[in-house]
Amino acid sequence: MSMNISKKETELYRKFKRVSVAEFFEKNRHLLGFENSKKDLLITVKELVDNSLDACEEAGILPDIKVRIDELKPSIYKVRVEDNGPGIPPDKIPEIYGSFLFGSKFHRYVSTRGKQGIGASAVVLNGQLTTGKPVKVISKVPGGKAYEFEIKIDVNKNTPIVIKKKEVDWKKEHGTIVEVTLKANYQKGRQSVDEYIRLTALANPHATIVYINPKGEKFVYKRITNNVPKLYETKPHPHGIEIGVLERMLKETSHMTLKEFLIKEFSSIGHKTALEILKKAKLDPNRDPKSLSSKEIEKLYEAMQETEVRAISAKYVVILGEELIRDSLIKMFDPEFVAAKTRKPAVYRGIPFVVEVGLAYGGNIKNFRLLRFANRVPLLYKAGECAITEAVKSINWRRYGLNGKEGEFPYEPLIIMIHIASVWIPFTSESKEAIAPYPEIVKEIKLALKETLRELSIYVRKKQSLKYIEQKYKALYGYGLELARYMAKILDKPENELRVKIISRIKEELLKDLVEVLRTVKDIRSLVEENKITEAKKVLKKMLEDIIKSKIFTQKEINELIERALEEISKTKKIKAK
Amino acid sequence: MNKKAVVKKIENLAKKIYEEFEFGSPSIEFIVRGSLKNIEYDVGKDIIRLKKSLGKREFFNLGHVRKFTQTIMVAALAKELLEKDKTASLREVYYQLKHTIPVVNENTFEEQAESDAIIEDLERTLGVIREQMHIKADRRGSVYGDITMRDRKRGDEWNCAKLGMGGWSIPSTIEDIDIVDVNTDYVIVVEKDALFERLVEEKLPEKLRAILISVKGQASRGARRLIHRLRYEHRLPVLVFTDGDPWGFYIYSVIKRGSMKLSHFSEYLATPDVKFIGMTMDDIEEYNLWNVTMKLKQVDEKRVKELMSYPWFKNNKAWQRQFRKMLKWKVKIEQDALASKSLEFVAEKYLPEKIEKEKFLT
Repeated sequence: MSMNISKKETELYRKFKRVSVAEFFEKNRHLLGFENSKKDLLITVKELVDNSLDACEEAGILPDIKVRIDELKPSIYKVRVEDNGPGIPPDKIPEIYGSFLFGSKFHRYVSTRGKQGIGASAVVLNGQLTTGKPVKVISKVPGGKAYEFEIKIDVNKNTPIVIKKKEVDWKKEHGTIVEVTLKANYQKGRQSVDEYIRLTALANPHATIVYINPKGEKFVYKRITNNVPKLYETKPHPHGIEIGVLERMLKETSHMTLKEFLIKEFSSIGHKTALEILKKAKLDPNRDPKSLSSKEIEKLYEAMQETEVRAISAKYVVILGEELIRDSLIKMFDPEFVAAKTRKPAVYRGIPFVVEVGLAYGGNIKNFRLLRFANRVPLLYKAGECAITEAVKSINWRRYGLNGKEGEFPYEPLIIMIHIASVWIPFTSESKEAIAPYPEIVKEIKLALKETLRELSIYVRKKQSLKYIEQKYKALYGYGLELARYMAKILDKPENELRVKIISRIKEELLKDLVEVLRTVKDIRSLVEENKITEAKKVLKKMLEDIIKSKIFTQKEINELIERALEEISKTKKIKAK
Repeated sequence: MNKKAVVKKIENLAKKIYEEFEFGSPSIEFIVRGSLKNIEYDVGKDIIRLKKSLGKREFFNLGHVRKFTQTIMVAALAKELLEKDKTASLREVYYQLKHTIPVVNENTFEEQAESDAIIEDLERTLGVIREQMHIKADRRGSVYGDITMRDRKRGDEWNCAKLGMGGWSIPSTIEDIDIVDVNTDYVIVVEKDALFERLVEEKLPEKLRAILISVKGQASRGARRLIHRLRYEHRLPVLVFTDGDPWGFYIYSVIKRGSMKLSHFSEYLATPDVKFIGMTMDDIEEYNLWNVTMKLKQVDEKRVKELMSYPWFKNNKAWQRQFRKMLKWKVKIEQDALASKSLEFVAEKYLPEKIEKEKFLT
């Protein structure tokens, strides 16, 4: 699959060089994710916000991001994104926003969000083509002055046209504001901008995001940590690239020899490995990389795949961490239970990746939801073809005490958040909305999910045991009476004898369950541990109220059982103390 | 197994549970019911067999307590029936035991299907069939032909060719029936009553010296047991005649190799060397029945594909050929379609010709 993606990328890139940007964009807008007016708005916001977050992180700044969308007239929206990033030097601004830089991001191997996107210039171009309006950019670098630009793209020459440039007063020390006007459509729902911002805040707990939607509703997501993730950029791994990419890299490299090309352009290739590869490919290490024929490129590619090369170090992968996932889920969803797991890095074609899972259960959560993230970017589309969805649907929910069929999502008030972090994520298409379901990746996701689900299942079962203790003893009692009657018939014994025997045994069973509750249910256990015995008794009595009401056991019998259960607990404690 | 032995088994089960209420965890063990997952196909004997695995129902398990209690209720009723020497139908068992349980406010049995299933569970727990517990199913199926039988309990005797056109109705159990005298050369089993009546009217049993059995759809336990006994006690060859559709084919399959659900009794109910006489896809070509075929529906098609993958059909080339033709032509054909030729056609031409030329599928 990824072979095709890269081929497509390469083809797109070639095409791009031949035609005017406007023509190219019109023909390929769907491939870039501009599929409908609702999605166009999302992509515009996403691209600008992702760029802001990346800029802050690369500069080690805690992001403060403000997003505002205004409906100027029906179907025409203005998106404004403001950040406190390092700013862009004024001489670079026209180039960045005023020329369509398609394909420039494919070579970077770093856990940023941006490389998942299509580039700010694509968003600018879309705005310009749909409304004729220029992009407005205000930016200030530390110690510099703030400049305001209005820029258009010359769609024939693919060069910036600066319509306006002026110095402005901006109190902020540094940062950037981008304003794009576009034809679009705003809607609420699971694939809305509102949701994208909310989930971005969830996966970026170090950012403060203020968002005002076209309806004037204001959302404030405050950061819960002051640690900015550190990003390290690395180079492609020889096992992780496709032949089309290699071809392009060979054509564009500034290195003069093949040997140097391999060492400098790839990670994990040293002197020795480079020579080994070239020997296998029967190529002269001093050849000019640009001079290779298609056949030779193929040979080189094969040799690269066959040679053993160590994996990229996992330090390049930026994770969220279990603690932050838990805190973030609690803050966002107010659940009654959370669990999180960050797996150890695994390797896929020489590229390390990390799977993280967060679960939030009950409380204010009413339904099931799966939240997918790739490098801290929420994935809102194409869930059906994503590795994450495939892994989740393969879970046997019953095994974890949850309701649901295999092959489907569970029917539980549960949010499953899954984050895949890597320097290079294999997406299923250029619009980068789903992760390709390679077996290594699906397997890793499943393992992470199962580990986390085990924690949840312990909680769920305990909760159920409390809730069902009444139900259980009502049933045991009712069926016990029936059983006594029919057992008596078979055994030719008086029904009463059987009844006494069965009921007294049910009582013993209740004692066992009470001891178990005292041991395992946190709230009650802590009462016992703090020696608040009267309180603990009160809670237990409340729990068993219905059993007395149904006349299964008398108040006296229940009191006795509670005393015995407490005795049992103190006995085991003493043994432990010894 | 005599009555006393069955009563003993029921008592032992109750005693075990009684003791477990004192010392252990009260539970009932049973052999897990047969399904595609836990049966195996014995190629040598051409029979479906249960891969026995034990299941357990525990009283102190909220998920089990209902079925646990229901099982004991049925066992108690069975003991009563045996001791009073009465038999009860499946439906009577249901009504005998149905009432509301105090405290939980549930019915002991919501519908008959529930008690039927528990009776089957108890069969597998005790290793006896329901008729041995004096619980019987509705009678289904008829026999016509020159065969004399005797009811050991009642002491009466009859010839199945002298009971009128309807023949003798096969009861739920034939364990008390002796086959006294047989004056025929083989047995023809037909799926539908209409065909049975047609063949009796045409005097086929007399002409071909055959016993005719109508099973009325899927063969009842009694009918299967009778076929089994005629084959193995009296060495009569058995031919099965059904509709040419997957449901008809499966009627044949169950008579021959047993059903999945009752795979624990296959050796007692199945008749591995029965032969299939028709309707086949080849018949459509051979007798030019194209204008009286029916369209294969989606459910039929799905069922054909299931049959094709069953282990006992999978490596059977002749049957696979039939299945493939059916899927290719997308048609099925009823037994009754032979009437398009003439009413007598089935008795005078179709069956005699097929029997003479031994055109059978096995």
